[in-house]
Amino acid sequence: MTVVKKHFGSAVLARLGLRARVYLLLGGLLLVNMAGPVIMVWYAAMARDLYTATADKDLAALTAAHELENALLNQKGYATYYYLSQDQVWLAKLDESRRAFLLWLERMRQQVDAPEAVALLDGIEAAYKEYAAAKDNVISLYQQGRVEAAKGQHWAVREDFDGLRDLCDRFKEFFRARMRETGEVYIERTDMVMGVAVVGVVINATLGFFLAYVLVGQILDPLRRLARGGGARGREALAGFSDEVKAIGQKFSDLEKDVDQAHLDLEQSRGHLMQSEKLAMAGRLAAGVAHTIRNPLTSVKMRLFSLERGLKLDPSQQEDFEVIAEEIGHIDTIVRNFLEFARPPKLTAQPVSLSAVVDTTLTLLRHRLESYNVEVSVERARVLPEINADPDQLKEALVNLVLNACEAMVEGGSLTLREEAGVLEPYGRIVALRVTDSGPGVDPALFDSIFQPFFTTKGEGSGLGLPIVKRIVEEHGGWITIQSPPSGGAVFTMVFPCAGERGWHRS
Amino acid sequence: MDRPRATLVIAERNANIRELLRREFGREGYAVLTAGSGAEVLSHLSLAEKVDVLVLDAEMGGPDGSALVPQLERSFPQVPVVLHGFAGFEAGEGGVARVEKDGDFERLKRTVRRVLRPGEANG
Repeated sequence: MTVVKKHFGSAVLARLGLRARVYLLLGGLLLVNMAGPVIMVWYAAMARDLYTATADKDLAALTAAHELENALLNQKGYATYYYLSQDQVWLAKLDESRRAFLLWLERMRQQVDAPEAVALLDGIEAAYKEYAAAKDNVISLYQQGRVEAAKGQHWAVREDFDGLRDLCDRFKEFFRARMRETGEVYIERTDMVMGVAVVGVVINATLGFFLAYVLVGQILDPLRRLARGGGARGREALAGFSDEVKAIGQKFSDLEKDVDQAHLDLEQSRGHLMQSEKLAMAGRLAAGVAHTIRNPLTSVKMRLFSLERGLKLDPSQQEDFEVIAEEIGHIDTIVRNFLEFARPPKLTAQPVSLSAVVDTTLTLLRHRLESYNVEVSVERARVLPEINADPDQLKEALVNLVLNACEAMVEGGSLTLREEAGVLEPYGRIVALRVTDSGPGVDPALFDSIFQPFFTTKGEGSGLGLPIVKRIVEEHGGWITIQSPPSGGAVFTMVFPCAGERGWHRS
Repeated sequence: MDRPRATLVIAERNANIRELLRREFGREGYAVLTAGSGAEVLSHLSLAEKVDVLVLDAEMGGPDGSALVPQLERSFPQVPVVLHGFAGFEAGEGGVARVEKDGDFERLKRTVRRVLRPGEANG
């Protein structure tokens, strides 16, 4: 039964909002607690009323009735004493008692309001008048000396007296009954007030229980959970505060800071995004232009090739022709590099060892290296383990890196390719290729710039060689770094995680 | 030239390159038909008595350049195709010979000769 009630209560509570629930319960408690004292005050007023207005009056009437009866009883003796002693003193005392009787009677008339009591009083007064008259008659008979006649009437008067006394008793009895009645009313009301008080206590306890339930279940526990939530940081925050509300306050201010930081980051990355969108659009435009230029350029190259076969030129004409051919070749290289750079990533992965890539690249570039007057040495402890990569792309990257080094060493020099394998956390196993040249080195201030598209320190560079290298390495999940010791030369290191293949199977 | 003249269709969007190739291949003794668009290629292939090789500009026939090759392979499977395009261009299927389009048209000539007489070494 209580369980059902509780469930019903919970269901009703659940339908209301938390705030409404708390307000409702608080309002209920307040109402019950206000109603209690109001009822008590009302009861106290009622009790006082009962006493002052009714009980006191009734008691006074009862007392008066006693006095009245006493006065009556006194009158009874005096006539007899007078008859026995013939002393006038008794008659004077009789008069005194009669006055006292009439005085009490008058007082009672003033106090009595109930119609029954008034009727009784009327009866008493009437009977008394009769009695007093009869008594006067008896006394006058005694005074005349007609003792026998007086004696006979005296007996009759006695009967009148008994009737009168009986009336007085009835009068007293009426007030006794009224007092009993008042007492009963009082007890009845007291019982009612006690009942109300018991109901009030029960309602108070119920409301208090629900309020406690709502407070604990829906405010304090969630607060505690909030304060404790958020993993280790939350517990740490709670550890310093005995008060969950303080802990939550702390948490909120932390959160606010985080939000501000996140907002800043967002603004920043929005800026970066806009920047890179602009760059991407410029890139697409430039790629379109490069692609369009390529076609007439090819036509020019073909005509030059055709011209070269039939021309008989003197040395200076020959030189002019060669410069034209060279510059056109240069334009072609820029366009081709640019298109290569702008090409969307498209890798065909296969297991390949970086050592094999080094060998093919060096074979491919043998004549170029000779013409640059560059000595190449490969430092290889053993053939590097295979990684999942696009060999053509790796070859392209290495060609660009080697040619970049060759162009940096104006007078020729030496180039060292050092192959390394190892473990680097958090990437796990890695393979690396270190390309060291004996050129002038790179100003550390330019370390970032040299990987930017179209940045070049060479008059003839396309500014795309190193960006292509960087892009290819990054497409393979690796990275490229540059070092330039003060002693001269530059060291480019390409690093590929062996687990990198997982990353770019998707592309 | 004791054997009958081979007929080439040279498809190339750039008129200057097209005319150069017509001249160069004409000098080699080929009968040359030229086409400046995909539609012309198709009309030559349908109307000409015989076509021995098609030299196809890889970028012809739409922006992606590759739409024409599968269609040709379906409609004219007997005509070998030499795809002439820029490096990195990956249009076409495995059965098509590819020549990189740079200034050296001698390489294109060698490829056409090889396609006409398979089994003969490059040269």
